Amino acid sequence: MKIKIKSLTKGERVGYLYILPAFIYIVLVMIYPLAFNLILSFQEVDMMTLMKPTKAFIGLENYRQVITNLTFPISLKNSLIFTTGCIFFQFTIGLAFALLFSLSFPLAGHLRGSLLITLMVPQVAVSILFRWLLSGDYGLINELLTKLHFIEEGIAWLSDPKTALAGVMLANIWIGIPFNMMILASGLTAIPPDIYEAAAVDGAGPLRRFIGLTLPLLRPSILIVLTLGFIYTFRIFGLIYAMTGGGPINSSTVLPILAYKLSFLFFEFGQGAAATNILLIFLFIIISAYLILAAKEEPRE
Amino acid sequence: MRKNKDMLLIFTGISIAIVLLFPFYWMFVTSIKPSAEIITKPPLLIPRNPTLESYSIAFTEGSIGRYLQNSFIIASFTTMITITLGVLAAYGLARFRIKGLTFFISILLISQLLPDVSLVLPLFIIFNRLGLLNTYLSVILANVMLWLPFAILILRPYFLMFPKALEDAARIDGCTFLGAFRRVILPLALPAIMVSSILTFLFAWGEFVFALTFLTKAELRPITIGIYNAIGQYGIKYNDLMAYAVVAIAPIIIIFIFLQKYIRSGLVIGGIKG
Repeated sequence: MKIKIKSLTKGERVGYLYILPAFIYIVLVMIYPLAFNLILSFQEVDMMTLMKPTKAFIGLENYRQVITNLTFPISLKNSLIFTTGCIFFQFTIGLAFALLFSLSFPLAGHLRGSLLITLMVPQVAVSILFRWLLSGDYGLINELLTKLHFIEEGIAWLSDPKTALAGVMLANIWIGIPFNMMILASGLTAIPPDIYEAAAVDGAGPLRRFIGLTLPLLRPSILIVLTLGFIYTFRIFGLIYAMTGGGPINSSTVLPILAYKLSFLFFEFGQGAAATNILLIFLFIIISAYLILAAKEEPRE
Repeated sequence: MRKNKDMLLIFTGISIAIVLLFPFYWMFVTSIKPSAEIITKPPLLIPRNPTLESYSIAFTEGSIGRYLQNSFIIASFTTMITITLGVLAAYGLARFRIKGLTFFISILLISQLLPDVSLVLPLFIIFNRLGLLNTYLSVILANVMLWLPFAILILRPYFLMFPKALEDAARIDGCTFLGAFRRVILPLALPAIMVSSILTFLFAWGEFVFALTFLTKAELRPITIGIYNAIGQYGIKYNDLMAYAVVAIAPIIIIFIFLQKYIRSGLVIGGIKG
């Protein structure tokens, strides 16, 4: 017995050695830069002061500047529209596909798997692909919409401030559907089929079985897919930056684009740091909400 | 009856796949059309005079070969460092009683959710001071940070699955901890290592914002920046642009087709999108 305890403590110490390199890496390349970013956000840092050894602390001035920046309310609104809109469509379509592909039929697994490719393709490649699909003159989407008589003549999707945000949303929904489908499908496979059989015997129709059984049993998966979806969508930068650059006239500028431009276009580094911290605050609110909801869920299981 | 239902389901499933994957087909056919055929009304679903001209433009005028090489270097080193650190940490977290295990796992989960935009500014300033801007290393270091938590989180469940008895047996046979790790655990964990390597490589291949910001010299830039610059260079010559895109995603499509099984299992465990 004594020997066992001794070898365990020795084992524990070896355990830390395995973790140490990754831990040091995370401290140096993530935690330190984030702390550095926090300090930056309270300092006056622009092109002129960047190289100075000491910088003036200006309290919350950078945050005030960002929030009173005329682009801030626009980009916040765009971020919220972009995120909720994308999630609504990705989730609904993803759930429908997950239900379909979870029925056992030949090829179901292969077809479902092949759709995941949209997740792996670089977002910049998706950007130029959708610039082409949404092109005003010869774009395929306009062609389709006019054929179906939804529109009279071609829309210049990405160069019109009224439609630019909808255009980037379309591209992102396309990327995100398989992700939603995949997580929800793995949730569906965890539901034992005999539950449905019992319900069918009791005379419950397909719609009642879906609302009464599938949705409640799928709750944990739904919660996780919505939380991750919100975070991944809210932080999207490259896709939009390469598609529209946030334009025209900020009509597709979301918070990450604003933050990046403050730093690397206007060289207001202090304000750029403040803007990314505001972005992080939003993400932490979402994560906390998820943790609270998930904790509530637990006792019921 | 059962057969008819199957046929209907297969038909629906295939239609969905065709619609969702159609943009890739469109990318490809546009890239082999001569300029006159990309501005026809209605658009040609099948090119009349297919040509590889756009590809020869991409390879001769642009430095696409160089971009591909840079992407390959960045993605390979990112993968090697990520997997080395990730395997060790995942093994440590799965095998030993670590004080603060939940704390460490929470850090990993949260860092997986960090926006890349929130790291790009501080890293830019830090790398600038260290003289690392305009080196592959700057982008590699940042990429590893982005994917290391993910790699650890998808590797750990595999290590948890192995019976500890296996490792104990190796140790009784005279292997040291490290010896047992190398001879018994690593070979068994190979599928898991494959999964995380493939995903890390693919994600690093598609990385955009760090390369955009840290690399200002054209000869160091990866293919994602090549595509981005091509927008300015070729404007609305979409056949040339699509040829560029096809070349950029070809390695990814090939990896995806051959290693789909691994990719799917990794994505489900890691719950992530690129």
